[in-house]
Amino acid sequence: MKRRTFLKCLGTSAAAATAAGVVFPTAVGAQSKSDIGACRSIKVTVLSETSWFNNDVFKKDITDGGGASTNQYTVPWNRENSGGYSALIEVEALDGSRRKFLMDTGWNNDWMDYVFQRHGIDKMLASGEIDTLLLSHWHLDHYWGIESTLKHNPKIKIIAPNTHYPEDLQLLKGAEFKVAGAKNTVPHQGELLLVDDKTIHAVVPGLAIKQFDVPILLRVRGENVIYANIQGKGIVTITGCCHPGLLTLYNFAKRNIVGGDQTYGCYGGLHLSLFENWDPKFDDIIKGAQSFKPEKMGCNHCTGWAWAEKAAQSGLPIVKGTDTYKSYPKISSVARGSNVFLTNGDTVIF
Amino acid sequence: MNETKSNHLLGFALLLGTFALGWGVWHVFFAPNGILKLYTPMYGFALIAAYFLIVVVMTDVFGLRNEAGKPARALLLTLVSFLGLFVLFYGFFWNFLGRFGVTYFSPHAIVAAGGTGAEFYNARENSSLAIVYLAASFLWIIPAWRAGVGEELWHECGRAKAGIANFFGIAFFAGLAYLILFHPHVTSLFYPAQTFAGVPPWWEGVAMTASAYFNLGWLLTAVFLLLLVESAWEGRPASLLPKDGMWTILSPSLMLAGSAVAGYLLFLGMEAVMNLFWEEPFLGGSYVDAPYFRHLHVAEMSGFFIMGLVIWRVFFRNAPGQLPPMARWVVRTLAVIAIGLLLRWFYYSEGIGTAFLDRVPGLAQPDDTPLAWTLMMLSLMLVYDRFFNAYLLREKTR
Repeated sequence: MKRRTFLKCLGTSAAAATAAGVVFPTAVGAQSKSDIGACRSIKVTVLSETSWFNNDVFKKDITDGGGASTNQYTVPWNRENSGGYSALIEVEALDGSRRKFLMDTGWNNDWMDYVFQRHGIDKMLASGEIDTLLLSHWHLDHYWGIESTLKHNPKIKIIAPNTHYPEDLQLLKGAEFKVAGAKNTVPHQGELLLVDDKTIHAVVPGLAIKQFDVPILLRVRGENVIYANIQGKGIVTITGCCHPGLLTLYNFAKRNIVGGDQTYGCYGGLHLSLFENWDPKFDDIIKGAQSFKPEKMGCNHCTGWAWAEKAAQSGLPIVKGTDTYKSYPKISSVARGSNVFLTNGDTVIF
Repeated sequence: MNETKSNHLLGFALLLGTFALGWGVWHVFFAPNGILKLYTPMYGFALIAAYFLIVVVMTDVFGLRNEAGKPARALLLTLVSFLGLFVLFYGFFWNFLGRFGVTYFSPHAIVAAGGTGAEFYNARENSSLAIVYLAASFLWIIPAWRAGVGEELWHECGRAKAGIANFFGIAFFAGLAYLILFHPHVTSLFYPAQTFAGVPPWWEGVAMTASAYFNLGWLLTAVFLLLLVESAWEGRPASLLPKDGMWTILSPSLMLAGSAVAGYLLFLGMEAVMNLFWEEPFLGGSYVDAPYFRHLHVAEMSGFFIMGLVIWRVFFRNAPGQLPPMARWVVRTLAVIAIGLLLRWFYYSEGIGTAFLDRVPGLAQPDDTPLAWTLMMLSLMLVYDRFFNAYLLREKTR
């Protein structure tokens, strides 16, 4: 008898299951698939994936601040080391029309102002060409640069996870956290749409958001994941950090989204060898990813160069970046010549 | 109110007091937003595991207890245990074994070796994981050895000599268990994996993960079963094994093998229950979908159950005492399971446990394991029970 079959038999007969209902509350029930529609293509431009420039400095800040679960608003971050994470998402609908979204708004306002100006995001925000900010989660490097967005359009619609803390909303309304160095002088005046983890929120045909309420680093919880359904190609996940786990996202799509059986690719941070460290579970993900047969994997940020290189060597379709990032005023201390990251200024089309 | 009921009420009150003390200790030393913030998480977890191991070795291997309940002796034993922690953790692991033998036991040695990701924070987490694994190996062998050998082996030599002899016997098996069950994970924590020092994780095929949390899972269920036998079942069936002649070797070996088999079966049973609620995990899944988390969670559940066992024994006098043997064992087992499930609910409950422990709400957080808190609480309870002779409680029932 195979181990899994044995486990199933045991599970069926486990009398303890009834008692365990109290402590394992997420019982599996019948699920129907959601239809998120389809789009013709998605283009992602990496505005900035360098949330910080020196891993060792960032890790020291975390360690000195209290470790992985400490409150990010209480840590005296090294401002010189901060950058930010942000991307421009262009959705081509089936009729050929296009819609632009800003995903995340970075950390250091000086850096984000530069990045937005370089890519013309400031003008797109001011003109209303970009009218929605899709905030993946409330981590400092994705959110604290909010002033750089609001200064061009304080009425922008923001779609964010509903797992915020009071400090997050204070910053949005205009506040300063001196110890941590977070500041916003432009209060948000537009709609704030908070997404819960129960539903799949449709944005435009072919693009939807699903919140995964998982506990993550620095006391933050919950991440909004963008699912795109590219007609004839399959599902693409677009993530800030992908804390819920790439294969868990693919598996969710398989079970819950029409067309989710076909995995096409991914873009974003994958939250693996974040600090260029290694763990055997990263090997699990390389092996597990093969079974989903993705065709295009664009990764950067918290993926870790070490993981991306090993994944590419193992045959996963990692999209190579360019040397454009070298023309930015600051570059990451861990950037390598292998170009396995889509780095600052690169684009990928699904 | 009869005396038994009165004692149980007092026990409950003292248990609440222990929880309050635990809150203080957690927030001073470990809580992410506390004072010393040692729960990073592996560093604090390893300190707790090492301290718990020291208390267990002192009391169960060397017999350093305080049955007379003398305050001075209680304080001395507690002081010795703290000194032992510093000597073991920073002296033995960080500055002796790590510097002159096995690099990964010392963060300083890892950093000095250089290579990808070799900076102090990662290095300290990695060396801490190795220490946790080694402590887990000892914590499995000690009750198996005790159940198999009892007080027979070398007892004629006197307590100190018998303690030393038993310790080296235990250390031999614990070292072997560590090398086979955990060392391949630790050598895989580096990029590239240190395959000349340790084989690639050999359990990967059956465990659906290269993580040694698989071994930690069944090993801690084995520990739970051994302690259940010792405490709730009054030594049965281990006490039926002969202890003399060749049996001095055979009995502990049988207890080791038996606990491994029984532990693995219980491990499979617990994973089956999880599958009912979270569906089956898959290779490369994350959070509750991750095979390594399911394995770790079995270990975490065992931690809750072990805590239930110790709570029942220390604070509720291992009730009931009057029923027939089989009935006593059943009642205790049910009580232990109920307390374990209650503790799990407490730990993960957003309104109470999360606030109490200053943790991020939610399940399967990669940077959080309830084992740290359960081992800390178990340490406090053991110190109270064995160094302070369950002050107030035992005195009252004497």
